[in-house]
Amino acid sequence: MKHRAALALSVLSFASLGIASFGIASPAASALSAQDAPAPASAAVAPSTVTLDPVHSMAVFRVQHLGAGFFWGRFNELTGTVQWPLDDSAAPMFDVVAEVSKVDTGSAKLDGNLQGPSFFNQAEFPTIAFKSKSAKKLGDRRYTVVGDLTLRGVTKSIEVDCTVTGVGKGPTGQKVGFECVFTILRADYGMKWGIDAPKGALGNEVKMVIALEGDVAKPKE
Amino acid sequence: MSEIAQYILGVIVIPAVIAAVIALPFAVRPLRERRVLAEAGVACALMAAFVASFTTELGWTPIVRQFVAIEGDDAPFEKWHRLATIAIGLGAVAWLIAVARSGGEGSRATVGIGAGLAVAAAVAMLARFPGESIEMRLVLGGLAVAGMFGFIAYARSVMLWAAWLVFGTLAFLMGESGNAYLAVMSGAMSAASFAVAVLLWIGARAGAKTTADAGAAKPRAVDASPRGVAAPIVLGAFAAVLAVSGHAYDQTEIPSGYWYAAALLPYMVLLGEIFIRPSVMRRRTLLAFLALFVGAGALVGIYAMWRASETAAVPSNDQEMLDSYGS
Repeated sequence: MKHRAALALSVLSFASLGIASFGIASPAASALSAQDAPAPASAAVAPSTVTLDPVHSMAVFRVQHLGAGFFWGRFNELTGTVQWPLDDSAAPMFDVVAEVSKVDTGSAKLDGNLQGPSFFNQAEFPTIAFKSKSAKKLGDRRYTVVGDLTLRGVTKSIEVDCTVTGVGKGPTGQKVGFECVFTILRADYGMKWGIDAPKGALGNEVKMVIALEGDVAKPKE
Repeated sequence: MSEIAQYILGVIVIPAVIAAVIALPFAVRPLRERRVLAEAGVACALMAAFVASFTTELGWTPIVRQFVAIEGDDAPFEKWHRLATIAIGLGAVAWLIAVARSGGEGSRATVGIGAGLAVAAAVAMLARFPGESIEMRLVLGGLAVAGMFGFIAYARSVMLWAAWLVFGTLAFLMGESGNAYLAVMSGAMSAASFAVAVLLWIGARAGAKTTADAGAAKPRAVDASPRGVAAPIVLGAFAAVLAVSGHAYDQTEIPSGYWYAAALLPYMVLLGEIFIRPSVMRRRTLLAFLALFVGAGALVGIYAMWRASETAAVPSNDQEMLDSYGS
């Protein structure tokens, strides 16, 4: 009896191992596989915490001016962290903050306009935040990350194309770089000035390119 | 018509026309002589201009959201949206003050002073702006009382012209501080004040002519501004709350003195009277207008000089590069 129970347990173990190996799990299990999982538990290497280096982390944005040229501006000194295993066994998870006070268009007057209530309303909403929730692997070190963008007090889920641009070594330790690109409609976040009135003064579609670099936290000894 | 002209038409000109239409019966006829109605009607018309400009820009949702939850509305309350609610409230309060003062002669001063203090306190408590504190609310209340007194004591004869310059100067400062919304809304208030001032002037001329035609031995002078205190109280309070809000949202660091001076421009009439010989005091209305005009121009001029000196003090990019890397 004892022997038969042990045999049954062995068969079940092999069966579950087979299912896992060949990826023929149930559809629900498949949906939660490496594709969308926030951070796979079976990652070969535990995710490292990458603390963003504000000097080398920025967001540049692009919006059309008067239906003509594309105007670029940037947010300097992004802060936050990224969780990512250095062997790329799981998607990077971002928690990034931009301060509206760090907007930089090259014109102090234009910076003031963007910080005012007609645009980012810095006095009431001083930060812009992105926190990723899930990710889908597109290729080697390339992901579509889904997360919440909070801008001007409005939080919406967006998709961001992210690439791990490299892992390097600096004087203080290991560094990792990321580049993320996404497009939003600013009206969705209550930033409507210049879309309908005055019509076409500034485009609704804003493309953002986020360049991040951070230091990998040293393992605790 | 260009897009920008359409925009200005929608957010400044049409609100001013709405104000003029509301004010017309009170400023010209048939209600001009009904002073209780006239003072409240004029004040209400100007507040309507702000609300019309606000709703043209943002719709009614930001106002309604302050009282009830709206399905599907995920935008948060923004503090400056309270200005529209205050404008609506002040429009209603103008009628209450006018009606309260229509009682016996003896109670008018008491009602006027009480109403002024109550409105200043209410505005100071209800206004919302970044960095709000007890101190800032006291400053706002004090500025409102001072503004009301300036309109009543010094700029009464040119009240709407004074409002034109006060709100025009505030619109200029709003624009300089990058606050596009409040710049056009203050601009709408200024344009509305100008339109109603013209209507009151036309009404005064028509009134004087009617009196002369009636065969009066000496035509009675007809004021080009409505009597009473409802309009000065409302204008003083709203100029103060606009100035404090504009300053609170300013990211370009315009010194507070410019904002407060704009709200207190009516006091320029007093300065004009001090510096000009008494012999020309017969033309007091013209003198008051000129003093206001010079005051607003001086404020803008001093601001322009200050801004120019600030810009000159900032090193150019080339200089910054030299500083960073050594020459």
